Amino acid sequence: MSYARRIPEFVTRIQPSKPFALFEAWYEQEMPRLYRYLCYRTRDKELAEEVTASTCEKALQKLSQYNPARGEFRSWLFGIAQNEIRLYFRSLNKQPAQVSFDSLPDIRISSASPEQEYQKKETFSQILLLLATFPESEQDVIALRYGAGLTNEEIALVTGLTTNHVAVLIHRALKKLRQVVEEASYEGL
Amino acid sequence: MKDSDRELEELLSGAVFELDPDFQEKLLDRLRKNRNSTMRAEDFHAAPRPDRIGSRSGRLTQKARWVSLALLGLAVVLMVSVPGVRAGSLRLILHYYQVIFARSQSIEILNTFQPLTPSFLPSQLTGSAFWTQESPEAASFEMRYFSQQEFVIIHQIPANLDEPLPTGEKIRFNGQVGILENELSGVVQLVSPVAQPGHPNGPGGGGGGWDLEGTPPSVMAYSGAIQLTWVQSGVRVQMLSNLSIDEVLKLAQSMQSAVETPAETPVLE
Repeated sequence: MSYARRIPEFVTRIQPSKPFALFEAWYEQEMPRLYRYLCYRTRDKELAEEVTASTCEKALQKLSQYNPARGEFRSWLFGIAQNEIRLYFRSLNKQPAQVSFDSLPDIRISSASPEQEYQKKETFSQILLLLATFPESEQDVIALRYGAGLTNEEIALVTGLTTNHVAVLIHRALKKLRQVVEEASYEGL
Repeated sequence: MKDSDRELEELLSGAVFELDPDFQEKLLDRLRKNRNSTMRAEDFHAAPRPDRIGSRSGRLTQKARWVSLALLGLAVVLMVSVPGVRAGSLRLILHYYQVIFARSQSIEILNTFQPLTPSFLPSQLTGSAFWTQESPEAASFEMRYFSQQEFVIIHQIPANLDEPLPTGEKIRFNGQVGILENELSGVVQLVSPVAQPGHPNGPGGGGGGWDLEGTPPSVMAYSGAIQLTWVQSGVRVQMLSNLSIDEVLKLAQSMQSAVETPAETPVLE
């Protein structure tokens, strides 16, 4: 089942008069997507957990401000997460361009053999490294697309960009990343 | 799509960051605890507006409640301590009580009072019947039969056990006792001054009453008349006539409740 179709299930089960119930339902089913999006953005397990926690706390504090008429709950939450990320990087006055393999979040990649799995993890880590050098808008759409698993239309809702613009950003980012994958393929991926 | 593109897509889609279930659970616990220390959204929505604290729509404010209570107390004190106020209040209460009580009584009377009708009538008499209601509590039914020189007026009201029958000669008929008064004189108006609508339950049924046309004198002076008064089926009947005692008794014996026998034109002899 796609992400887009799974969202309305919990939304429709929750009474609008009980926002915390809405939040809890979202948390149980959708919070991992927020975490994976933040893993893409931070490339650091502890930091991803920290920002996930602060995003949830902020969302809970502002729960009464959530207006269903102005957008879906997931869009509202990813919007808070984006803001938290920006605030975090601004507070550090830097954006981590390098990642440590030790600090990377745990990655699961299904492969035919342990060797292939290792190779894929290596490649994926290089992709994460490379992503850190990309413009923030490209990092964001890649993280939303492959981390949170959103469709281009859903990314457009979260980011406020048009669907075409999202597609262009993803295409541009993938083109740059392809080089890494090709190089890795030559090495036996 | 190139192979490298597909590989890249597969790699990005297949790589999943593992979420520590322990972290997920602990964070939710923390959020729940934090929620208790911060304002709940439900409470926020349910809470009254600051300018309406202490007030609810449709209810009195605390201040208005106290003012109402004070005014009520003042009114009670005035009623108890000032004789004029007390008397005025009592008069007012009694007035409204009487109006309301009398109105309900009147409705009850009109709904329950079933006049009696005669099944016998001397042939020379013609007449009419009509309802009168002189006051809210006094509904009556009157029948007037007459010829050029004779008349009989049958006046019926609901029987009141507290009101005794007039003094006079006791006459037993139809297993009941009537009071006969003799040698009465006076003037009777034989035609109804105002055409009254018939009672729904009265003779003739559903409105209009029955009316026997005649060409009577409108007023007749009488002397040596008799009046028979009795109570039958909850109705007090007064029969005033200058007919003979035998005819009056025969007429009285023929009186029947409209419920017992459907109203019909009396048999003329």
